[in-house]
Amino acid sequence: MTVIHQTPPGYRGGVPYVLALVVMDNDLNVLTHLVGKTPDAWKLGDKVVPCRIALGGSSTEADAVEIHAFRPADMQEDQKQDQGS
Amino acid sequence: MTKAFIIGTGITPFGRFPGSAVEHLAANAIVDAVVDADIHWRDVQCLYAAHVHQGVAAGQRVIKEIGPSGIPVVNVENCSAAASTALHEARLAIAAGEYDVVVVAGFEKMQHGILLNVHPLESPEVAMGTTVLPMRFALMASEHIEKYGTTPEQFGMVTVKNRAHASLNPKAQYPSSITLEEVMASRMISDPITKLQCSPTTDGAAAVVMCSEAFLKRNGARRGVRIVASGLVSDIDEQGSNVFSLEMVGRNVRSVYEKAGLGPENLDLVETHDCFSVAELLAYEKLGLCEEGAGGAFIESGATRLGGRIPVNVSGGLIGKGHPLGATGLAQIIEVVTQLRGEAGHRQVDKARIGLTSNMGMWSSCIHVLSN
Repeated sequence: MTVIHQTPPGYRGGVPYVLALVVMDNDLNVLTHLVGKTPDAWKLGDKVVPCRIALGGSSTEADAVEIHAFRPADMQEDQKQDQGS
Repeated sequence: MTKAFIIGTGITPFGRFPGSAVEHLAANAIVDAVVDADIHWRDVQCLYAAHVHQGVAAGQRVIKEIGPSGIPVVNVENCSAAASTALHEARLAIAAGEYDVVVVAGFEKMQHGILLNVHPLESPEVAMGTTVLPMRFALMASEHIEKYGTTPEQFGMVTVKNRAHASLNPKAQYPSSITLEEVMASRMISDPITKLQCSPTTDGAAAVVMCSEAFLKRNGARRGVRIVASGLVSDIDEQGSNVFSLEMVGRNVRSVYEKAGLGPENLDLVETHDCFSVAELLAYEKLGLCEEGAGGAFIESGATRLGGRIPVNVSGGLIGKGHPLGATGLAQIIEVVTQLRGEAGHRQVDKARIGLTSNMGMWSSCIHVLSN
């Protein structure tokens, strides 16, 4: 995993953001965003589950892009509101 | 199959040249290479022109700056491995007996900013921010740190070493030394890669003249450096997961060592693709210069410094010398040729006889072994 600090051209979200290779139970690797914790709080081996986030504003805005991401497996449902900021 | 030799080199200074057209940079490098080889322009039977973002028929535009010829012009785009790929293809053509003398040139003028990813701007991966180049190497670094206890500072030492080497190379973009503290304190790009651990964007051109053994003997060229073996592969990416791995470098070099009939213990110097510090440290392991996982200790030991057991990137590497995408592979080759000729001045590697270049692009590895 890594924390990106510089906005790449064409990227719809803000920095910093966390990218990681998530290894699924079937050994498939997914290059994806991690959300729901501050960037520094993540460590290799953390358990995660999939979720959806909106990049470039809230999911109601026309130019927002909805993408898959992963969040901490032990995170409560009601804590998911502010993901993807 | 006939052997192939490099008999002439030409390279422009690397840096920022807003007033110079890329065609002029390339033509200057080619003319220097032809003069260095002590041949005539009319002897050249084919031009291989490597570049990445220089537009349609860039090789033909370059040749119009040099003079009439009518020879075939082959434009080669293979991301940052374009120039070594062109050299590899030229070697195959010489080996097949098709040509006696060819010129291989690489040239680039680059935009400022973070190294462009290779995906179209409208692709979903770009919107997601998962194609940014340093990230690919940061992921490898993160794994290496966790698995082997490598430290972020050990990656930073690659920049310190290569900038020290660049200070001995008058053609380098950053010919000045730098401290580890400065490297680590520079802006974080993609954790643990700081800004000074990224290669810069660069304008520059490089060219070589390559010939057959028959031409070398016929013309009595004095300084032929032999291309002992070369190999070009792409990555496997079993999962189509769009990550970057140096597996292809290990796989490629094992085949090249076998073709060359030698191993890493026979090398006197290496020029490897340090687009980011991480790439060089991991390449030590993949090229067999040290054991898997020992790259951190290896850089710290000083083994890869000028004067060390196996000097790596004495040119300054991509980080110190600069990284004009389409020229980089040939800049590596020219450094090794210059070293094997014993003409590298203050950065000369003592008794250099055999050198290896490892050039990478998205998602290719191209490796050459040269001998004097």
